[in-house]
Amino acid sequence: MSMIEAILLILGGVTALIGTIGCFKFKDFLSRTHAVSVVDTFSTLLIILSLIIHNGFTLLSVKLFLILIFLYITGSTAIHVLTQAFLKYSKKEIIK
Amino acid sequence: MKHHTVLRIVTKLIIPLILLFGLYIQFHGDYSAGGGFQAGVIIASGFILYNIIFGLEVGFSILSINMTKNLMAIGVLLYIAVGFMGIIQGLNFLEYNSLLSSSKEGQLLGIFLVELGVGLTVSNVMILIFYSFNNMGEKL
Amino acid sequence: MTIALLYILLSVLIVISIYVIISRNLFSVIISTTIFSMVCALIFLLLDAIDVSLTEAAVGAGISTILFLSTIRYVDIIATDTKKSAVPIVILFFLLLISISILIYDLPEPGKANVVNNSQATKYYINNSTTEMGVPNVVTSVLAGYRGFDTLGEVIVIFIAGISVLGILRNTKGRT
Repeated sequence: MSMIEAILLILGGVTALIGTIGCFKFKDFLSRTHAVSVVDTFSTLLIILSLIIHNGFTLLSVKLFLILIFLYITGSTAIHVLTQAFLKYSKKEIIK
Repeated sequence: MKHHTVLRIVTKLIIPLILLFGLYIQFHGDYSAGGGFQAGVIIASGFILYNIIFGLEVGFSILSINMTKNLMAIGVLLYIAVGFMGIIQGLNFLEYNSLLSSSKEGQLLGIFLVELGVGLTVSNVMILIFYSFNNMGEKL
Repeated sequence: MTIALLYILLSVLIVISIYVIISRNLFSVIISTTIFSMVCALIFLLLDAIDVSLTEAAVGAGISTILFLSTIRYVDIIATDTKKSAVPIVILFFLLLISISILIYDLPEPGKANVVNNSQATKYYINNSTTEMGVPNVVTSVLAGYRGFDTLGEVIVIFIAGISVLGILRNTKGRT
């Protein structure tokens, strides 16, 4: 099934590229963190899913799934902490 | 940072995993990448994360500075003690062949103890440097 | 294919180094050092050195960042504001880069059998490590078995570094 893996891998790379371009193009800090979090969750999901399909139903796929869960927990927490720190210590006006 | 609910819960989930991973790397240095240096750094990062999130006082009550200093020295002394086991039996310094019954098992035990000493020293040095930068002197 | 990827990553390293030289904000310099260590770990992985890659990722991108950030908090400086330009340093950096690249061409190719640094000791380690030591990983058996004395020196150096930090940053206000 190498076609599905190739499509998923390319889609993961394209998503990472789009998220990174968004990180440069957005004007607001909060929008930039939103673009980075998209890269962190969606792109890693596609890449690891393609690796799981490539390896089939072995122990390696379970390990990759656990790596995905770990990345979700720590990546999302990092973006959350970044946003909380910005809201607390920034001196600019946040448009409600 | 204790009143942030998300940080507290995620830290309680992640720190056992970090310490377990550090111990895995320490004891599987024979079979895959690993050894004492990497494991010491990973275990130290687990302790430093706990100190950042829950405050320095709670961190001091778990691992005080005197304990850190003692463990730092015990790591080096363990290494040298393994070396002196060879001299006691009349052979060279750091000769592992004489530790157990056969030569191969002696090498395995020697490498195990030596990496344990390295891991102890490296992790406690990193934790001690972190404590020193955060006004450790007043708590001495 | 691997060589092309290595060249791309090395050029990324050069760009990060130039940014570290030019930038005035200490906080962004520290984060750039973290990215530098991660790219180095990636390069070591592509060159098939997994022990070194794990150590570089753990020490360079993990502990070094948090210790540098603790230093900034202790010293209370965020940005340096000198008016000197960074152009002479960038020129010096490029001169160093070109001279080291010329020197690297004279190094022997890694992995060849009859070169001066692949001598008798290397052949002995590769041939006899698993049977004599019983440890499958050659790196650990050389580091802790055949060259255990050098590792003792490394551990003592780390211990001395810990003692030195303790001696410098000790607070003597409450002591007589």
